[in-house]
Amino acid sequence: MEVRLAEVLKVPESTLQFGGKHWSKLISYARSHGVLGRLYYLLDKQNILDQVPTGPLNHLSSAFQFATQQQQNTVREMDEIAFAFKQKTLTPVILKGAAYLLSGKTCAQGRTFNDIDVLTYKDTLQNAEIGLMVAGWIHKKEEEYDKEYYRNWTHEIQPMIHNNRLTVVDLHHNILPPTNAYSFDAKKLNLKTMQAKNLSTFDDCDMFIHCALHLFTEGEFSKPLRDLTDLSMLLDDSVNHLKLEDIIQRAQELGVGSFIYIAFTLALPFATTRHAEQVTLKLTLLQKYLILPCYKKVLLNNEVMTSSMLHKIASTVLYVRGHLIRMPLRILVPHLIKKWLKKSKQEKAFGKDWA
Amino acid sequence: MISQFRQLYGNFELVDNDDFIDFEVTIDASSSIFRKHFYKQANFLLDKFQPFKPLPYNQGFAMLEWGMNWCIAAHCHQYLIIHAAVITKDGVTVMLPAPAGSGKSTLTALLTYSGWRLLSDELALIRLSDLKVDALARPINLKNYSIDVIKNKFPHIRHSEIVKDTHKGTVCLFEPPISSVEQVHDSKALTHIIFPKFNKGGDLQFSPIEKSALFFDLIENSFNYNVLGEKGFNCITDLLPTVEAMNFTYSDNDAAIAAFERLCDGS
Repeated sequence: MEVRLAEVLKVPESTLQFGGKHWSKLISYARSHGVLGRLYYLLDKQNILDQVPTGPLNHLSSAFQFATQQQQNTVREMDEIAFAFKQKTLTPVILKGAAYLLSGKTCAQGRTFNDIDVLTYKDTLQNAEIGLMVAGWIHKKEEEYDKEYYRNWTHEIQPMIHNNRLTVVDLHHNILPPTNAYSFDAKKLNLKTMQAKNLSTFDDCDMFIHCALHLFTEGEFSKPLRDLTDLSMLLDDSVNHLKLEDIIQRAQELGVGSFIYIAFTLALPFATTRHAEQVTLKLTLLQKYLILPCYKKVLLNNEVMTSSMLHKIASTVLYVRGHLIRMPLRILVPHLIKKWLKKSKQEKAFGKDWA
Repeated sequence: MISQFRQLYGNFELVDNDDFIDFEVTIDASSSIFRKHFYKQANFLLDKFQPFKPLPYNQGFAMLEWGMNWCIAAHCHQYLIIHAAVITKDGVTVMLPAPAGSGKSTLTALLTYSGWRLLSDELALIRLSDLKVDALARPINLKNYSIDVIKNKFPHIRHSEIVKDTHKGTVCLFEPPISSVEQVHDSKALTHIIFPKFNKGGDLQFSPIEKSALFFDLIENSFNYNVLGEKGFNCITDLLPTVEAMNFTYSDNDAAIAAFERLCDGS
């Protein structure tokens, strides 16, 4: 019996047939994709946690525990950010993982994330930055090239780290880099605001679109199946109030329809609802016969890092595509050269002292 | 490296192909051609993930031990994990937490080779479910001067190559007793928590610790209290009434061994 993580995420009950060696593989694949905690949640939802053998169950519950504890800290941190912004009469828009948590989305269950992504607008960026600095967040020491790169060519400024709590805020002024041909004014996106908390997120439709754009305009994937099932779980959460057709229409309004077609093609197979909905997905020939197969190879693979030749080719295609989407060639080429030169000098991150 | 591994882990049970494996770890020589021949390095991998910078190749075996400790401490939150040794004899089960440099490893080795059963020398795994300690019985990690102390006192105990110039100084791994390995599945409830401190020329002394101070000492010496949150708090709260807690200072090894024997006699 072959173990395929993607299939287990679609049908968690298939693990009832697993022996020890199947679980060993599944746990290691799930860990690399960052979905161990999610798997715990899905098995719990199916009421089959008590049938999971102790060995693998320890890993699943530990991951869920870790995520749950981190989320408590993240909720507190978002309150700190809200307070910092309030001093400048601004309301931060929380993005991505932290937003799923704030809005009570099921994809937040058992999910970890690194930094907190916050959106403000170009005209309020400086005040937001000052507000955070006053509250204790500082910029890491910047190299001139990085500073220029961030401020001119991307949609975010360099990460800010809190000097006591060491938490990191990624402050964005748009959701796509200005060099991206599909970039649009972030003010077009609809917000849902929690007045009492002084925090906003996108509304459900725009949250899905942002999540899809984030996955399908990037060229590198550190947690592929986690990001893909974030999308499918968002679709399940909104089944009663948001039609697939509405999402497509909205995406076309914003000029990013093609990314949503790709997102639906890949994410809908993971959704447990939505089967009754009919939707026409318009894909170009290039997308259908080159891009989609590459995404399937990279996103659905058991291992995130693998030495298979096909995987390497698919990864390269998507890497190049991601960069070409993000910036035109005349900026891209010098940037890649500088980035490659820097990488050879960079040190690997080192964890706590474990010896 | 393989022969050292066989020597120090030779008495452990081999698992079946069908058994569940918690962590698949690898020590690998670096793949670049340059590194294969010059300044050879060792990498630690969990599956395909590399959590640490490479180390010089001769530190490979020590790196495996450190890497395995990291796997447990970073992922196994079914336990409250304390940076401590745990040993047991005649119904007395002692946890010896200690910041680096307190002489905990030396004392652990002295007692282990004098008849105590070793559960662990680095990681005390306290089960959240019933507060019992699960055993690892892995080789004892000794550093610097304590290597000679143990080598001289117990010359028949096998050990790894002595590796100099690690970030911990000189390190060496000593074989766990067969009986400790054979009993690895026997989990024990703690009866004592003892903070050792080697104090050259000082008196041998047990002195009691305030339970409230002990609470914070345990948090400070834990690897994953911050992950467990309320569960960790409850674990320590439930544990404290069940154990006797003391500071222990000593300067003479034989006197220390005798003092621990007296614990078993109920004094």
